[in-house]
Amino acid sequence: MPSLSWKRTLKRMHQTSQHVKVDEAWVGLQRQKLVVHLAKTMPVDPVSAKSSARSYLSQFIPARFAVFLRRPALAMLSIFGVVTGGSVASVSAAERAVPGDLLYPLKIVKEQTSLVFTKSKTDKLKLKTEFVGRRIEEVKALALSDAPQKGERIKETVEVLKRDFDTVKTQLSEVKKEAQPRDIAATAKLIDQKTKEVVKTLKDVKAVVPVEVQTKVVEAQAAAVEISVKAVQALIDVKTASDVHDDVVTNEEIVESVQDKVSGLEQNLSDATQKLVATGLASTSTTSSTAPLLIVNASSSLITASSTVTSTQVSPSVAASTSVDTINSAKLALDQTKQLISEQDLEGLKDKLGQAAQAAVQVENSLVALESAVAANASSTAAALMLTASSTLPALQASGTTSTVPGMTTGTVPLSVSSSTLPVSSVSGSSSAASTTTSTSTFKTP
Amino acid sequence: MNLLDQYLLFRVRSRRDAEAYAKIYDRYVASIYRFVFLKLPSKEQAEDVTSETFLRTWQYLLDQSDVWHVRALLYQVARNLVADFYRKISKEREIPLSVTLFDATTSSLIDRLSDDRRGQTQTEARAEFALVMRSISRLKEDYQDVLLLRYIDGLPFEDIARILNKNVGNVRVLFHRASKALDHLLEKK
Repeated sequence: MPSLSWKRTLKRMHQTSQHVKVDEAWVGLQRQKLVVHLAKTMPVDPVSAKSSARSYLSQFIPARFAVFLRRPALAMLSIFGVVTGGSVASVSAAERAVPGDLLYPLKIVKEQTSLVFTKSKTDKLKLKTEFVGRRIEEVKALALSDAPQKGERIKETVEVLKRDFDTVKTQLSEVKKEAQPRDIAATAKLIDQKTKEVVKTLKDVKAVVPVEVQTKVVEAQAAAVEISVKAVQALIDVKTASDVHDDVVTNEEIVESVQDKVSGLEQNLSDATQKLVATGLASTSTTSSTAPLLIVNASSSLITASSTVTSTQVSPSVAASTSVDTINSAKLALDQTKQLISEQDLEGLKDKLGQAAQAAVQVENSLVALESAVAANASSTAAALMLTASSTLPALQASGTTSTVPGMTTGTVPLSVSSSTLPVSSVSGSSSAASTTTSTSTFKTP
Repeated sequence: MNLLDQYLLFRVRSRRDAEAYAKIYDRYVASIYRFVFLKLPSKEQAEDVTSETFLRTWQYLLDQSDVWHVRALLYQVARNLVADFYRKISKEREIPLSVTLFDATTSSLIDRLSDDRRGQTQTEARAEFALVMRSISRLKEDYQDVLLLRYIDGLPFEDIARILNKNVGNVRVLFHRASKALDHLLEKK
């Protein structure tokens, strides 16, 4: 036998092994068992910082060279200590980092690494949701701190947050198509929970950030609300699928989640109503028996002054009536949603909730349009309007120009600083309201 | 050495990070399965040995500080488990040790050998393989190990070094000599 052919013969056996198919289901099952086993056999005593630093050292430095390091060992250990974090009780330094910190890029790298090496779509999505949670923690920490340029940093992080929400949205729809109901339900619940935290934190944060950042915050809030609605819709889909076991997601869980959103939206709506009424452009009327509706206030001074508005601008009266319409239809949608909750009509709820969320977004848009219309109007009839404005427009905030009354600029009139959580559609057409920054954030997301 | 493996290994050893170990599982479960599958009589046994490999490696990582090379460790553990399996069988069935580990895995391998794409019949392929294996069995144990781990299992030298508990340089020399020795044996035929 010639010498080369035995190699070929043996290699053929290797080929055979390469063609062996591994049972995917078995792999998954074993993985689960493994994870359970890992949890069970986790040693109770914590790893000491010294031994973890030592193992870090031994890991990356061959034994031969370690001898040379013994003298400056303390220095090395302290460096590694910073990188890998102190004792196991405190969170690692890198994990505590916020945008702008030295170690923040390391934190992001670690996140990206773990994302890249996560296989299943469901796990990736769960991980992404965790990271969204981290972003909002960072925002919270930044808001509370006195870090330099914290406004900028918060803005960038919120920007990343918004982009992450878009990613989560796409990934959620993919997961819905591919994954097992149990996984979809678990993921959707996680998303729901996290977005709740996000909305709450964003609401708090909005109060303490500078004005330019607020628009971004509001956009992020809108994205968060949209995602949480999608998550609930996913849960409802899972529930109504015929072959799903009852305990994967319960009716109570869904109802609770929906009610949560409904009350959030209702709060937004009442804030919006208040604002609108405060402008004097509309008022509530109790013509209907169910709930007071808004109607445009024909006698408002603002409206009479609208004759000077140019044709390209929407007049305040038109904007006001749009706002009134959107608020009324949003209210209607919410009432219908509540009705469906009591009827436990899950399918209907799914659609209605989506409609209600969209309606809320439109309310926000219309209010923004209204503000710009009023502002445009104001600039052309400056003096007269300002005097009347002082009493009828307490809600509008401006980046001041003139004296006693907060003047109104034609340009950016950001939405009020009251602590409402109105979601704003990120595609708000009114260019005057959105701050058009094109800053390239350094925090990229896959 | 693979940077990701290093990072994951570090997480497991210093932080007892279960997630990191689960990722190690994801990375190597298929390779380990294929490694043991050919050597064992059935799919079920291959599955059992694979799971057992990962469980034991975890325990080893928790207890021992001298681990640098998780892939190699996994292969080492798997190989030992295959050996254990056959040892247990020979004890249980009271088959005398004339049925060596080598023979058992050889017959298993022969069973698994699939059709050659170039049209050689399965019988011929198996006969050829059996011949080569018989010659290999006449070499000394170190030579046998290196040739099989290199050609059949397709492992890199650093893994083979860990499994055989030698350093990489030795392994290369061993490999070279083993190849020559086998050439010699088969030329005579």
